[in-house]
Amino acid sequence: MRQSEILTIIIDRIARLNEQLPEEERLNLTAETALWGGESGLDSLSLINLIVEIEEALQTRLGLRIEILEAGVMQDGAPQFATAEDLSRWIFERIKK
Amino acid sequence: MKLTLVSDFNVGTLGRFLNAQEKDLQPEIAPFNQARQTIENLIDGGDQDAASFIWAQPQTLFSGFAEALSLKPYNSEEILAEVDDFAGAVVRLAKRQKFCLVASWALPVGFRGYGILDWRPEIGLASLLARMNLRLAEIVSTAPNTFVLDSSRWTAVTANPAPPKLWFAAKLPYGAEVFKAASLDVLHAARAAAGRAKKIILLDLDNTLWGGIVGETGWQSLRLGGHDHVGEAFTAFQKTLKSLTRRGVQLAIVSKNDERVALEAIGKNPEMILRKEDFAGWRINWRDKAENIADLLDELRLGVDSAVFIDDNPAERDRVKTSFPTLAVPEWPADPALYERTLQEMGFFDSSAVSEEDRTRTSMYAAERERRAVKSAFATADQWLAGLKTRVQVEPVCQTSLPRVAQLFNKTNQLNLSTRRLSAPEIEAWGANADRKLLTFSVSDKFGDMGLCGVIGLEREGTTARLVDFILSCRAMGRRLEEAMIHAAVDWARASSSVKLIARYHPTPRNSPTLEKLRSLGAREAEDHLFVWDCGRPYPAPQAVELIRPQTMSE
Repeated sequence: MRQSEILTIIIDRIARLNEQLPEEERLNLTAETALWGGESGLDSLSLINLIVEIEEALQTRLGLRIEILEAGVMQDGAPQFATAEDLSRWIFERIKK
Repeated sequence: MKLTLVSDFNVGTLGRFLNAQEKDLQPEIAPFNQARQTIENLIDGGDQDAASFIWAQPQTLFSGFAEALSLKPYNSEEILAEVDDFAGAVVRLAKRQKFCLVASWALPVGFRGYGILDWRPEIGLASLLARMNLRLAEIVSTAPNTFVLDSSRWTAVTANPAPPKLWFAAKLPYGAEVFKAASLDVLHAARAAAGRAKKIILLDLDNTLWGGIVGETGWQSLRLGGHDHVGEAFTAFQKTLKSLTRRGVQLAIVSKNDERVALEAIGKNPEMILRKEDFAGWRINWRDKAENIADLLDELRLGVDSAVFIDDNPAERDRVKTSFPTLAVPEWPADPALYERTLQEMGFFDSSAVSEEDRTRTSMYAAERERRAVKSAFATADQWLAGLKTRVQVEPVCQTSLPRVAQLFNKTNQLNLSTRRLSAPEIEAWGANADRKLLTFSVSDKFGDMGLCGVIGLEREGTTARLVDFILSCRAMGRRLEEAMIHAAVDWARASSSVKLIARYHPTPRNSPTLEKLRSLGAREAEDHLFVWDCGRPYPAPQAVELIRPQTMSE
């Protein structure tokens, strides 16, 4: 398992989230896409939808059970998840443990 | 148009999907968990340009059902009485708005209730909920602008429709896929209520209606029906297409093929479900499909925004999509086994009513093809018209004709004087005034019945009669029916002692043929777009048309 596979899933879920958003609010589909913090345009509703979808996709596609929500990501100041890349790295580190 | 989303759970995701897909719709989320209060407030407010979508859980709406859900014994009549009360409120709301949508009720995902007893009357929850849904549907069906949407379709789109974490974290009972499916149904319903349902499917032939390329293999070797899973898939697809024609959806062919070879296949292959008479028209040649589509829709007098294009070839789909942004070009699966389901799941054809005319429209188009063939054999238009033996029945609008009249009000563009978009209840209310009259024109000729094709709305103001609505289906244009309608209008004006009949043309991007026609109907154009007929003498009925009408037009 590589971190890039996890990143692919995250970006794929971001693409799905974009379907809910008007064109001008849609996120870029890159590793640098901001998910949290000032750079991100996501509100709490989008965030919760995205997290749960990522968790489900990790489970069904890679057989991974990761609790992202329990890691406190909905609180302010979660720098380890600032971007899609950051989140994929965090998940990858958790798997390795 | 404002669409209020009334719910007892978080419908923010639904609102976003609606917003993202339809700019003309302004979803507004009502206060959370106050469904019944919101409905009453909307009734009090009353906005004929607004609509509502109510999606609430039955255990929140009905205390009796909440108790039943906890597996306490229930009294079904008491619960149904609660449903009656709620449904009555929805009907009252519908009278105050453009339209109202209600999602059918569902048990919580995964809930087994009484297990194998859950369908046992007076015991099970599935049995109870089915009765509640039926009762809701029966009561709201009394309001022609209210529709129950089947929520079970939305939860069926995904293997995990209700991730529990979403509910506990954000009061979202469903995942995004469910809300997306719901938003599509809501949009289809909104379009249907606005008279914008699609009317025709334009179909490719090779590998779309049958497997194989008929020009290469001949009709005998096409994969269609038989004991062949691919052939059976195409047959199933054709059967579903045929069933849609019974709802009033038309079929047409746009194919790059030799016409003779293709029509021979349609006529001779014994496994064909669809035959020539099932198609309103075709363009089978080697020309560009976009050009063919424009030409065919012009012949059938349909706008591009009324059509759906189905083709297995992505390049052709792209060509058509690029040429006609408002023509629906759905993504089409590569596997024919998925054709039938993909078609069945399309909501493009949802309409707010189904009339007898809808069911026979295919035969009307076939008859129209014969009329055109006969026309080409006559030297002059008048000779052709006389040969058609056209009869026009003129009648006041009634309950039976009201759905078709509403259809004409909302779907007719080219020959439409005022382009008033009114619902059936609004039309009925308008015509109830003693100084007003709504007359319908039903047409038949030697080739068959064309159905109810025209409507006029008249209003008396002192000694002046006003032609408020002058609407004629495009398939009936150019047959002197316009003259017949003005004859009837002047007749009514004279019978109600008016000295003149006036009509003001309201221009839209698509009704310029109305202005052209008004200028040819013997009126005086008193000022720009204002037409006047003198009621001092009758307006002659066209000779080519036999008019059948009430004793006096004031009846």
